[in-house]
Amino acid sequence: METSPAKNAQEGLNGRYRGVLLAYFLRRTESYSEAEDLVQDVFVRLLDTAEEIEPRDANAYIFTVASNLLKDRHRRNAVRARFRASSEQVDGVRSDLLTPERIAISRSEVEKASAALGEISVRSREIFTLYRFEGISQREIADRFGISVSAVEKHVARALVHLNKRLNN
Amino acid sequence: MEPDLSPQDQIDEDAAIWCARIFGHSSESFDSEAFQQWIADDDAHRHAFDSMARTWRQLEGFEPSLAEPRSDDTTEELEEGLDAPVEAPLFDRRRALIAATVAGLLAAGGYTYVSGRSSVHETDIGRGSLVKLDDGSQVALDGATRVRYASDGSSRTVWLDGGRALFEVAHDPDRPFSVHAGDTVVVAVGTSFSVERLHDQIRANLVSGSVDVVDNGATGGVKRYRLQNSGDMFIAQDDGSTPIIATGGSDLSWTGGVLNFDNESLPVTIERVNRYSTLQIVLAPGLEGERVSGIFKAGETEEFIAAACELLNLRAERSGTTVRLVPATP
Repeated sequence: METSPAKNAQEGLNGRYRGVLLAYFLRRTESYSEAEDLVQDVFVRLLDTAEEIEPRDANAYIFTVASNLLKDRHRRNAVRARFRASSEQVDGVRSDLLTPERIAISRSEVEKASAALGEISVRSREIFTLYRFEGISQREIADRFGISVSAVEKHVARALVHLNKRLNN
Repeated sequence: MEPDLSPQDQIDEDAAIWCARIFGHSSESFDSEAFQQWIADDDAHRHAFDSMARTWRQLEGFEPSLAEPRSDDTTEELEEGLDAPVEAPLFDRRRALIAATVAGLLAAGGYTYVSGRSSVHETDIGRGSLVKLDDGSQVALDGATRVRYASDGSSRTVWLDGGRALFEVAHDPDRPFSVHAGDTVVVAVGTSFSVERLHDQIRANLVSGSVDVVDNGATGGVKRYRLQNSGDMFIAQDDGSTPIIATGGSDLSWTGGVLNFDNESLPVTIERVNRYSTLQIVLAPGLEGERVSGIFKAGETEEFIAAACELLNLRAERSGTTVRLVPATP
């Protein structure tokens, strides 16, 4: 049975990188579909070039492609956002000043989020806070509280479900 | 596994678990094949995931505050069957962690001097801290803040000499807890509130419980006010005018290293930003009436300067460690 080296290389890359690329894009885009599209775009680009990539350079190459695709997408979105910003105000502040880094959550959302966090149990709130805001791993939280990792995951998930109900419903 | 969850609740919970694995520092490795299979199983899965991810992102920049309500009475059913009880009180751990966060963000600084039943606590510019008084009350200090404390068998007294402090007062009805800031005295029994000294005013902000505010600087004699709704704000100007009582909500974001301004006067925002940086901002005359909204990380003074310049059409004139904000067009 014969397959072309290019196809093999492509499948190998696909298997190795699909998961990390998907996570990479999910963290940086607005929706699953958008992330999935970008993953496809990366592999489309790689299809033409797979033969030329040295395996040891693959990592750097693939993430350069991914990062460039993301930049293009953000640039297009930014142009759209500027059109909107000219007519919209966010909480009385000019929205073109509200960069995602500076403000991802508006003041009314701060209040909603505070209230929602106050409505869940102390334990869930504590664990969610450590995980979401302090960047502490589930393993570490589990050790600190003397509970299992899956119990930590459940606390985080239930806190998030509750916040989701309050912020997005 | 969770027979009591409705199908939609189960989907939401699964979506939240995936979201936490993808976005957080999870120790579970992300199994992208299982995730994509789950997404492909049902359109509702994808919708739930997108919604959960949006909520996760929305929380960026939000810092849970030191004194969130303790809702031990609600949704405890979430706890059931999840895990065994832990002995140490969680709220204390949480406080300790938040104290560590404040210290970590701002670098531990200042000093504490204790003598008998009195103590002095002072923080440097850019360095908040959390101190525990001898009665068990806790005080979170903003940067560039100084408090003195003394207690005896009948009273507990704090003097706020400058800056801002959040008090979580240990309940002790026999020994009222009072905070003196200029001509203003805030009296509490067991509650949580903050007091701030600004160059031309004193503010007291109620978080929970109730406090009495005594204004000794009012023209026409001593006046007494009561703050009893969470979020009530008392503002006394130094010029002796009638104090304002507003219902602004309690802003505790500073205890998490975030400065949150909601249509705040420019001089006040600058005074707060200056507590976090050796780079000191001064304001050219005539700009005192300007107002600012926005959320800034404490210590990111350059960000604030850039935003203020852009928003209010100002220019920054630099000289050594001083930045003077002047109108961009003369």
